Amino acid sequence: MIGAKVAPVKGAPIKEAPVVEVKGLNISFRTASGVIQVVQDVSFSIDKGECLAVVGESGCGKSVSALATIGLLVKEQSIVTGSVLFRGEELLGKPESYMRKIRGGGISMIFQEPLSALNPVTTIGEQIAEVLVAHGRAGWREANKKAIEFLELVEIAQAPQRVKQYPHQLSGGMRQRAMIAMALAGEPELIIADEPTTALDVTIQAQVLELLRRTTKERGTALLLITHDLGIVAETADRIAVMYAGQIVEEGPAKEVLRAPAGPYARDLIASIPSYARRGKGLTTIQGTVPSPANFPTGCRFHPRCRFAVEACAASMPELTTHGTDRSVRCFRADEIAGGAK
Amino acid sequence: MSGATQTQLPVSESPWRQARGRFLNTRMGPAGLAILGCIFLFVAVGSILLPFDFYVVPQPDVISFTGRPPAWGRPFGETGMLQLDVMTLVANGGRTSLLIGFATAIGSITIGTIVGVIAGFIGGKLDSVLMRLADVFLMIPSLFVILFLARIFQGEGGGGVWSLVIVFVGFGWMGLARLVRGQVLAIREMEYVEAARALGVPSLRIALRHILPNAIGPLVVAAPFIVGGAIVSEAFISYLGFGINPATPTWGNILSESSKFLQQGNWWWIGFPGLFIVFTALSVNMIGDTLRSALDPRGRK
Amino acid sequence: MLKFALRRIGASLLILLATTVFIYALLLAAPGGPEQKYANNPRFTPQQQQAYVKALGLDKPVLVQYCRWLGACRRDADGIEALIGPAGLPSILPSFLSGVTSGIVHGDFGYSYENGNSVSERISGALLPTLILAGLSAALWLSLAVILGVITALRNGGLFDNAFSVFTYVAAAFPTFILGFALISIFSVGLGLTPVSGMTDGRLSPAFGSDAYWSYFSADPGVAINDLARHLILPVATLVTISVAGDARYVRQSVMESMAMEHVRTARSKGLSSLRINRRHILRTGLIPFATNIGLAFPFLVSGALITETIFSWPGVGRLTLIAIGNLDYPLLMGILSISAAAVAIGNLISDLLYAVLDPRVRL
Repeated sequence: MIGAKVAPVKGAPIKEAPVVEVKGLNISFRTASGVIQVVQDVSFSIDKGECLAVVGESGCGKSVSALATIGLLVKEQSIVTGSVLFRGEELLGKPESYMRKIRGGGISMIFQEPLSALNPVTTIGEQIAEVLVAHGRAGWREANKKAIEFLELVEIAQAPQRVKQYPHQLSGGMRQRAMIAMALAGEPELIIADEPTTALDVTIQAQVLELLRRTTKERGTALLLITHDLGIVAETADRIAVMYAGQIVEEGPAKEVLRAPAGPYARDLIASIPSYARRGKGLTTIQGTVPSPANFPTGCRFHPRCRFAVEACAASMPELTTHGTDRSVRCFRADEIAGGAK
Repeated sequence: MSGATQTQLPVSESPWRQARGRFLNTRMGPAGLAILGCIFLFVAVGSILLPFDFYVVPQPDVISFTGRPPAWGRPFGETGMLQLDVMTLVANGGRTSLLIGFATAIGSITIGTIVGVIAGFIGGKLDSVLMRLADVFLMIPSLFVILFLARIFQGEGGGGVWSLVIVFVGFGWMGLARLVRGQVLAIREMEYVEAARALGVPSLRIALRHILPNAIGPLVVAAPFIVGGAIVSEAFISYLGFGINPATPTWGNILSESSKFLQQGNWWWIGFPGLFIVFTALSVNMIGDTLRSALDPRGRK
Repeated sequence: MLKFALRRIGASLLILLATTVFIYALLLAAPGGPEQKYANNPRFTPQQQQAYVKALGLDKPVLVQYCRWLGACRRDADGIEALIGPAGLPSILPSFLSGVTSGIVHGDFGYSYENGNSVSERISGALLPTLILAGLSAALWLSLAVILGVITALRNGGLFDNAFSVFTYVAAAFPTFILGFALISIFSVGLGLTPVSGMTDGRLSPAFGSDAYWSYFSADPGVAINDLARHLILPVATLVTISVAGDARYVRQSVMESMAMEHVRTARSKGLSSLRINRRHILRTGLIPFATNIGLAFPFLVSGALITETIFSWPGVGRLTLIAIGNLDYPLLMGILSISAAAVAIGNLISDLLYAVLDPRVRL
């Protein structure tokens, strides 16, 4: 299955190896009612300084894939197969002691809700400094000084005072900035941001996102941005992977995918973004609901909700195939749809 | 006129049915019920087959000051001094102890519910007086208060069963009233009650039909603990001599007598009533804890 | 912080005052005063009884009685004048200012109906044995509760966790006095390892707390402490077993809740060592609720463990309470109840302040 898939080829002739390369990732959970597969055959790679946005409705498996990449799924409850290559090294199956060095130092993570993701009874400064100490980057004294520098880096005013404060004393936007500082502190090569702006006010979402993108770009850090909000992707991401029901259904450069989505799901998803340009025409919605992992439909998992579905869609599952030069899509009728079929 | 197919709607189970299912699905709940059932059976059958009469003096074949250990024909052994049969005492004592336990639970719940519903529904002065009273009671160790009330009501040598139940109820209703009041206050604000009020349903009917049935969960959970608490309290208070008149066998009275003989090594005298108290307390805890998780699906793990 | 503390202290004092009023009313409503003790004796004439009541001030209005007990009124004056001490200042002020020495605010708890001893002397005599027993037990069970609760939470689902949860469940259902009897039957009567009851061995030493005891103690402290320790084993074991069960379950529960919190996942995502995750991120948040509960154990140190003290004939405040109830010794009872209510208030205060200190989220 993995062999059948054509990896996206970059334009540059001499290319550095990607920072992270996930191949054929399958994730299942052990539940009371048996083993349930939630992620199937997910592959992606991110280069140095690049930002990949994984987009999809809630429950499509994007957060789970991210947690599996950093090895944070509870081992007793989950089965992860496939391959996660980080700097060319396989992470799956590595012992906890090895993963501990990777986490924070090689890959770090930003969570959705900063208030609960930050320790409520420890100062911001200490939570940043402990990353530096844990990875041997500095002793406590020096780490505490560096914590101030990192807070300044994420544009928090009065950083020397802020390091001594607790999360509840900061505003929502500042908390998420502090989370970003924490993620940057270990000088990682990959940052996974799981819905980093969902819990924030709309007015500061853009600021925080811009900050995240700029700091990562400056440092050449790869960024895996997980979001259900297509609106924020256009400005931020270099590439997009659209997920549906545990699978990647479309992948390609952000601008191209947004301008001309190839598969029907991405098409509907993009059409459902409310925009001023389409005012007066009513909002577009996708009919039906996301199927639960316990009963994914046979064939193409999107076919019950798809406007373009034909009999073949229910019979067998389409593969993720190349589409154009730099894109791939999982749909039998991608070419027809692109050609203007209804 | 044929061919009309009727689609069958799934039969939705009532919350109580669901709770019963969850209760029976555990190991602890049915086990607790089984233990309590065995104790009941033993007490009921035992007190009929082996009636206790204070004025009947046993004529043992061997005189022994410390009593005799369990043997064939006297499975729980014999007491010291009067050489009474311990099994007879435990069965008849159990009848009194269980009666006190259940009477206390019924009395406390009845009064607590009435006062709690009134306080929560009418509010105002009564409500604040009630709550301040409860605050003050919380400042004094409850054991001190119960002992003092028992001493006053039961006199120096112990008294009747019902006066002790009154003491327990007199102390026990307060916590329940608070519980019910909180529940009523929360439910009163819910939309279906608002809706009933908007439709012009009379207050009393709202209280009885809409609020009370939904406030009952915590009471059901509290009931087993009250039964257990009252049985243990009776035992301790009777042991101290403020409880039931020693002429009436209760588990506490047996302990009170036998504890004086503790150093003679006749463990069966104190051991069997003690075991019965422990198993009763354990079984009601098991039932109560399982009820709690069965009635509150969100709190389940 | 200071403002918060002062406000809390003020509120506690008010509740405390209300509580003493309530207890006073309760005791006054109860039957049986000192004059009733000989009521059935034909030689105790009604005139004598009257004089007795008058001498104790029991003929005065309830408010005046309470006021005198509190120390806000002088005993040797009536009406409004009683509120002002001989020095011309309000009677409620400390003795050196007001010149008034009666009433609990001046340290005078009255005299026991039972034997005419000073109530404060009787209580303070019982306080040391209670402190030894309750203090030792509380120190043991609180630390055991933390250790066991944390271990079982971090290794939850393991063999030790399961065995321990069965133990805590059974122990929580065990009535204290039955556990006490069981321990006495097994260890004292059956195996002869420990004394049955009491605080000291009566054949060797004078009664605990007497002057004779202290000279015996200083003559050979080793022997005296050894004797005391042997007598402490069973009551301490009883109290610790009963109390550790509930507290360990509480600690386990809150540590488990803390383990499931999102910030712990963040800590793991930072690559911290498990020692640091446990200590700094799980226990730091998970133990705050229990730490603040320690203040609630404080009343126990003063009012004592009534049941345990009774079973083991430990001469502490708990047993004294029982004696006072048995004899309807109201001044003694009033003194004990007020002191234990004060202990509850102080314990709650400690809890609140501790919470404010430990948890930065509490805004003052």
